Amino acid sequence: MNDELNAVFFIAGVGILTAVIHTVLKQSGKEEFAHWATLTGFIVIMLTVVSYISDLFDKVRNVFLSH
Amino acid sequence: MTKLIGAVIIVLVCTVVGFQIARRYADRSRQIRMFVAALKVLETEIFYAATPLSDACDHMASRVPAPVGTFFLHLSTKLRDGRGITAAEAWTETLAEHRKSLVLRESDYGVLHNFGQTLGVSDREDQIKHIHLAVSHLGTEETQARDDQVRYEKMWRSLGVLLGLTVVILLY
Repeated sequence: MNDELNAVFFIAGVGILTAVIHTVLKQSGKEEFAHWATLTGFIVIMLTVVSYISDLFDKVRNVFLSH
Repeated sequence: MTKLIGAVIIVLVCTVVGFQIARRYADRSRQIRMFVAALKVLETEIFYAATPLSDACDHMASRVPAPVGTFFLHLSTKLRDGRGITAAEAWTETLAEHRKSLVLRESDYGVLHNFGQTLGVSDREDQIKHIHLAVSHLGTEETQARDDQVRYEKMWRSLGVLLGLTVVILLY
């Protein structure tokens, strides 16, 4: 339970920080860097989410394929 | 507990680094203004007082504060030390030695270098003209430096804290 909650907070934190960094960079006229920062944040979140999804698939497979 | 202390240290370090980078922008425009002020002093020294260049450098050093002031102090000692180098050579040497303590851009160094080449090779009116040219070039650089300062100083201040927080969240 605690682990999943931590993951939610992690993703929320990275999301908020990415949004703020995007705004700061965009306001100072560095829009390319802003987009790169957003993309990096997105990739970081994607990597964590992918590991959780693969976990889910493993569990589903275990439920249906374990004899 | 150790984790928390480490997180605080990371955020603090990133904040300090961000502020340092932000300060370079303010320092650049201030140092350009100091050079302009020093050149105005030099103009007065040449035009009204006809002071020798090494004395004029001493006067400039006493009139402008630290990084630029020490530049002119070193320039005057170089002119006095009896190696027989020209003013232009002394200027170039001093400029190269002070690259670390000054936070100027390449274009600023270009303006200063070009001005140094004309130092002490012509008559009074010509020197004044070169000083005016250098001052107007430095004025352009200063406008640009101020633009950069307005735009990037705030950005780096907040970016330092934010990057620190990001690193902490990624590692936690």
